[in-house]
Parts: sequence; C-alpha cells; structure tokens
Amino acid sequence: MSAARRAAALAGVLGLAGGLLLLPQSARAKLDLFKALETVVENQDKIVKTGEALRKGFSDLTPQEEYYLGRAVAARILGTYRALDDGERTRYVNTLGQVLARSSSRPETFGGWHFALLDSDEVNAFAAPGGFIFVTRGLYATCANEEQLAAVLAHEVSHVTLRHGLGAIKNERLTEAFTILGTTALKEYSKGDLQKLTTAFEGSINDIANQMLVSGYSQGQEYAADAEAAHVAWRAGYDPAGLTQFLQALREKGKSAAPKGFFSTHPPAAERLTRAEGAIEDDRLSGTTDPARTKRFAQYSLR
Amino acid sequence: MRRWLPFLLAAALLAGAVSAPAAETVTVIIKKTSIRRDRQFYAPTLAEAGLGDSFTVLAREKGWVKVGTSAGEGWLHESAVTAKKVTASAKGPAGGKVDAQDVALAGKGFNPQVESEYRKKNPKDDFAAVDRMEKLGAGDKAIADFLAEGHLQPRGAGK
Repeated sequence: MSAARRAAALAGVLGLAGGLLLLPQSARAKLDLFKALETVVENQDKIVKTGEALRKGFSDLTPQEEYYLGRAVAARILGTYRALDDGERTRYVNTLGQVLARSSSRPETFGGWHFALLDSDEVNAFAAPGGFIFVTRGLYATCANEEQLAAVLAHEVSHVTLRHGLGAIKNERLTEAFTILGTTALKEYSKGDLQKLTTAFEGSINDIANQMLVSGYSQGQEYAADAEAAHVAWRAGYDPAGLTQFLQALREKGKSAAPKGFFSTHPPAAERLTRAEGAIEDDRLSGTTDPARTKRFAQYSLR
Repeated sequence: MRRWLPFLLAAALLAGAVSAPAAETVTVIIKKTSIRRDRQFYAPTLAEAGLGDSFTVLAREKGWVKVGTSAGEGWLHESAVTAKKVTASAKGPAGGKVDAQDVALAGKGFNPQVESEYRKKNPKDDFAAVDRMEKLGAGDKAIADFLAEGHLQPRGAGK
C-alpha cells in the first residue's frame, strides 16, 4: 500500500472510530446520573469515594497507565508502518536514544525508553507516551551527522516528557475511567467496568494516534519540544547546533516535498529554525561537533 | 490541677510522639530500576529495585534520593519513585482515598486486563512488534562504550 493510501485509510479508520466514540448527549446524561449515584454511595459509606474528585485530567495518569497507553499507540504505529529490519542501525539508534533519555527531565519511565526505525520513505517521527520513539528511514536519511540525529530523537523524547501525546485525550474519556477506578475496589474488574474502561482506553488511543498521524501537535507544542530538545542534546554532550542544522535541512526538503505526513503535521521548518536559534542563544547553549561522532554516524548512514 | 496532671502528661507524650520526625520512605513506581553507587546514571549499579519496593530516605540531592539497602547505601532517581505514603492493596484504598499512586501500585487503572480486552477489538495493532521493541535497550556497558567512542561527557538529567 502506498504511503498516501495508507494515511488515507488510517485517517478513515481513526475518524470513524473517533466519531463512534464521541459521547453523545444521552451518554453524558448517563454519566451525570452515574456520578449522582456515586455521591449517594459516598454519603452512605465513607470508605468509597469517587475517583472523579481526586483525579481530574491527563496529568493525573499514573506512569503505569501512561505505559499501557503508549504500548497501544506503539502497536497502532507498528501496525500501520513496519519496523525496519536492520539490527545494527536499530541498536545504534537505541543506544543514542538511551543517552538522550538519561539527559531528559524523566530519565526513568514505567517500562523504560525504546527506540525503533520505521521502514518508510516518509520523513516522519513519532513519540508514543511512556517512551516509545519511532523515526522513519526517510527522516533518518535526512540527518547528515550524529548531532542532527540526536536533535531529532531529543525532540521526540521531549514530546514524551512534556506529555504532549496524553494531552490529546478528550477529558470525558478520562472522567469515565477515573470514575470507575474511584469506585471499584477490586484489581480484577467486573465485566461491565472492564467494557467501560476498554472503551475509554480505546478512545484515548484514537485521540493520541489521530493527533500524531493526522492532525499533528499544536505549533506551540512543537516549538516547546524544539527548545527542550536543544537542552536535552546539550546535557547529553551534543552540540545543540545539530537541531538548527537539521531544521535547515528540513526547510530545504520542505520546499520540494508534498504537504503531507510530517510536512502537514508540523509548523514550517523556517519558523521552527528561527525560534530554535533564539532558544539556543537565550539559554547560552554551546557545544562542538566532535569528528569521532561524525565518523561513527557515517558507518550507519542511510544516505 | 492535680486531677488534670495525668491528662496533661498524656497529652505531652502524645504531642511528642506525633512531632517526632518519622523516617521518610520512597516507593518505586516503575517496573524496574537500578540503585546506583553515586547520584548519576553512569555510576555502577549497587542493586536492582522493582515496582512497589520501599526504601528509607537518607538524603536528597539534585534530583536523586539516597536510600539504604542490604548491599549498602545507594541512589535512586526521583523519576522512579514516589514519596507518598503508599497503601498498595488490591482490596482497595485504606482510609477511603484513591489516588494516582494507589491505583498504580494496586495494579489498577489501564492494566494488562484492559490491554487484553482492547487487543481483541483491534487485531491490526501489532503488539508482538511492541514486545520485540521492548526487548531492545542498551545496558550500562554498551552506553559507557558509546559515550567513550563519541567523546561524550553528559551533564546529567534535566529538571
């Protein structure tokens, strides 16, 4: 299947699933009734309290919940694209990624950080919650040296640490999940609770995947991930200029590329470049591009 | 006054007991982590720790928590632990409060049971490939070699 057809098919599936899972008015009324019933239960028995009052939004998701959401988003990505069958390069990207993750604001996530290459000519990269990072062969080949690849991976790591993926989840899904979790005392769910939780989970995956693959993050989130990426790369020992070099390459590529995939889900590279240069200068981040790293990258280059 | 003396003494004792500094503990909130000899990721591993393991806090410095183990004193990164007092019970919350960490440590929330149900409905999502991806990582030795070969000197984790 061509990349364009695959994207169209995926958008259709996501749109359909998203449409079906939006809570209609009647469902909201049921949710309100459910909450009212809980209040009665709470008043009768102080041992049972609603989760709704104690957990409100995506920032209250636990590391474990983030991990399971991330696994499912990663499964969606790997079901849409395919992992590149190249153990040597995958190991290289993974080791580089671990070094960057350790220099991020969240070095340790529930299931650890994992990095993979996708077998696609598209120029794209994805970050699933919890630390599952993907870079396409096309984007990898856009990088001219290790500093640039480090900047790309640091940008994706920053989407995870800044919780941009989780922010795409519609609040009503989490309200539903947290309400069930606040009232059930059991680790094993009843059939009804499990169905409701799975629906909330599935809706959350569609929200995240839809943002990641179709609509894109907000421009503000992209700029924030760039600024954070410069810091992460610099803390790992890389030259933060890798980010601006990469954005320059992207700007050139964008001039001839069709406005799809990465180029439709990201703000213009020229604007990102201006802002990244400003962030690096303001925070006085500096470094040097060591020839040993450039030589190493040449062994793994896909150019 | 004499009548009240025993009560005053009891109240003073109680106040003393309450104000005595309780040892702070932290609990691991991720699957597994390493307790390091020094407060940096590139320091040797002293011991491994897993979800729900609790440790007494000896000190806190620059994003790291010093803890005591049977193998000696070591450091855990703050992103791997919670300082909250944990009521990890599968039966439910003690004291009537359910919060994020309780839910995580009791194995509730979005968990393997929810994933299993989700997988039945979404057979095209490739979880087997995710399992393979999770097996990939990089050990301390591979990372140390990578840093040395690339002349990299990390400045530590961010805030």
